[in-house]
Amino acid sequence: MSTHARTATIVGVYQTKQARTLPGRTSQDLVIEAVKGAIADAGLTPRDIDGAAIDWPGPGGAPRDAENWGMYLKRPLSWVDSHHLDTAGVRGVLKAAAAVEMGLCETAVVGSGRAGPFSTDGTSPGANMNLEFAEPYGSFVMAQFAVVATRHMHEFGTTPEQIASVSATIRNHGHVNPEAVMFGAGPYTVADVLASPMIASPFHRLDCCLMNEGGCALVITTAERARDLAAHPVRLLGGGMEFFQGNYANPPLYRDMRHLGKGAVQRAFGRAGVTPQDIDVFSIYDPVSFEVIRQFEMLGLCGEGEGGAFIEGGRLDIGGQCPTNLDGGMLGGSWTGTGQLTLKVIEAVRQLRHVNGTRQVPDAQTALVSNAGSGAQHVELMVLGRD
Amino acid sequence: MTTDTPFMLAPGVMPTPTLPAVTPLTRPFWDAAAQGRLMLPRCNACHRHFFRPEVACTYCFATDWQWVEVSGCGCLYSYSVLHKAPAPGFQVPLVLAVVELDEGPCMFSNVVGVETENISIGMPLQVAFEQVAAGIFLPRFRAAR
Repeated sequence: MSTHARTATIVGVYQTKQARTLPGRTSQDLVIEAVKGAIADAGLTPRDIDGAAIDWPGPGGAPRDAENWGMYLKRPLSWVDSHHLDTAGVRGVLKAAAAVEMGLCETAVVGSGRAGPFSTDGTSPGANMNLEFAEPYGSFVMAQFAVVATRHMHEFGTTPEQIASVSATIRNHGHVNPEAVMFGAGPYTVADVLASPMIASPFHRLDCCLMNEGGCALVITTAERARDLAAHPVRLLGGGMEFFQGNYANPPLYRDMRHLGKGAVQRAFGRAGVTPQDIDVFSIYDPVSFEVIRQFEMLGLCGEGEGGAFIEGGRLDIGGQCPTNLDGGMLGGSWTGTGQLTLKVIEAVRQLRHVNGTRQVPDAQTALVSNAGSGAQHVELMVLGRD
Repeated sequence: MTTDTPFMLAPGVMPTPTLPAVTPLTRPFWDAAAQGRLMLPRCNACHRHFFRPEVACTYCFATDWQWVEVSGCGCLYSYSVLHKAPAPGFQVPLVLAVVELDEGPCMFSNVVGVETENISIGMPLQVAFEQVAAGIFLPRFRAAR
């Protein structure tokens, strides 16, 4: 892809401490720390920010309304986005990037933070989403991903050991990352994963992501503006999104989910001008271990049904062909409701800045970031490149 | 004169602490279930069954549809055996099932009356209504004979 003056560029990132609980912290002060931190990382000041896709947990102001950030940023703001899935992650960055490239604003911040129970607009990580034809039968998020995995195992012979191998690999990445919630908690073997209590077959406890508290944010501006800033700029080369239907109300059928995200892959890589084979480092959404297997099939790096064999043999390790979730992902790093969507981007940005120390992929030039997955019936993804 | 007696779950029936949040749109489904009948929306324009109930047909967007009784026969498309209670009050192990009905639509349910190790994808199923609260009957599924 050719870069032009307004090409969206990520110039600032920040994550607060992530932990099972952060006593004394509130969602609002976590998101404030994250926003200040990301702006400082970019070498900017709050009054330089004229676009806000930032959650507003309150207290004070209209709940969830990003317009509240006008108090702290450039007043009046030129662009806002308030939905809880637009204030984080790939979807947030893509929408902010579109706003920047179109000239709706010059510099935007995407961010969120959470302490206490996750509850936004009627969604929650477990049950109690008021889903009339799902919850009375015991449906919850891990179980919805599980019914996709069960069918994949049935059709293709994907094994519990292959699924557990993903968990062990990614959790071992978190084991050696001081910022990961599960730092030092491993190392893990496939046998450890299979010996952990069954939650929702085929998923054991160690196949399921964490539940934590924390905040994170990032700053997006134009390529032209980025040239004057301190951090090494990371370009948004391409992106794509795909939504099958609203999540968790109807069963995710493997026959519908098998290609979920493939159109987004084509759009993202088509614009980026690179192929999935060119990607140096992967930030793959890992709410459960199995979804990583499916997403390598989605990316076309292996055929449908071949993902279980594809991830074997250390392919996802730092020295492997597809270094994946080297920060520990959501299985060993952090999950905070929406913040993990953003953490996927932050890890990719840091890899492309070449600042990741012992987990740095040498000379990484391109990164793939994905959010959501088959159980949720939507996927957002993007390709980032080192300038 | 009526007497309010607390609802008692019949022996062997799994509890459902998370009851369906019934709306005017879905009330006919639950009223029929209380009579032991499985009803699905069927579009009067394209004549396909769809599920969940929606204001418009999910195939052709027509708003002209009606409730029709269906066979209650289907097969197991996929499942997960839950070993962690999804909310307080559920008993585990519990089989979260995706049932593909003979009429086409798929729905979440539970497979009951089958040992978990005997559950397999593709097994034929038959609806079995179980009362889980006063006036609330859930369509669960048993192995078809």
